[in-house]
Amino acid sequence: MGQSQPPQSGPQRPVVRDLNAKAFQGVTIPLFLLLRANIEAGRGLIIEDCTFRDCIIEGPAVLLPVDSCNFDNCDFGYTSGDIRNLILRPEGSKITGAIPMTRCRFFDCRFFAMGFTGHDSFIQSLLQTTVKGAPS
Amino acid sequence: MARAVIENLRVSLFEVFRVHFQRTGEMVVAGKTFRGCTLEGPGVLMPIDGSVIENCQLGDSLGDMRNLLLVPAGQKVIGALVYAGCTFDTCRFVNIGYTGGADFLNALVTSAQRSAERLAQTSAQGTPS
Repeated sequence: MGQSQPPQSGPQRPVVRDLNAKAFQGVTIPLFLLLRANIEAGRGLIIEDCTFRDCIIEGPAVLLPVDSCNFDNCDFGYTSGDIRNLILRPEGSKITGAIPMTRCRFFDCRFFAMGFTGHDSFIQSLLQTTVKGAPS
Repeated sequence: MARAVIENLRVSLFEVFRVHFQRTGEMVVAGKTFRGCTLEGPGVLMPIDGSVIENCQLGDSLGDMRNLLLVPAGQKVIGALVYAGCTFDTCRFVNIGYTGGADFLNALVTSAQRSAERLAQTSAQGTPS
């Protein structure tokens, strides 16, 4: 079992300044820091109702999309040649360690060092994605 | 967090990674020892290259160790916090999932089952008849 160190590629974006915004455009967002800001603001352990346009969403982290997240024309990141390398399947009925996001929308975003997990239907839609695509 | 040995602290595994990455440019955290720490997520930990987890509380599994495990769908793993040659001794993990090869994941399940059995035996021995 190998780990993959993804190369940064494509145009860079400035690092986000306001992690408490609900709409983000043209910025780089470390997902862990977004969640931490969410918790510190009292909004809980799930990132809800955010919109991201032309953003770079950074890991390392594992994203758990729940309840109607949409990905439109996004680049899910370096796959090391196999999109399955982005996917971590939950072994049990619960998922621990991932960052849950609900009712979030991603337009023209690029993910970096991001793994994805979730229910079978999401994983199947992601597996059908090529370089860019739109699982929902 | 830049130290090689981190003891008795409450730290986020992502923050340890971030400090390491900013100092070295490397995405693999290598050669650290964590002793008596509370290690927080969220994050998915992938220990490699001789990393050792001993005498640790792996986290709240909600009764099923498998709830802490994420199985890679491919041959490589992207998105995990990769720690190489690190020792985790007497630590407590909070909101951390685990991933890696089948051998590692099976060993975690076996270790958790043995711990549960030991705990059950200890409880039974301590119960007055």
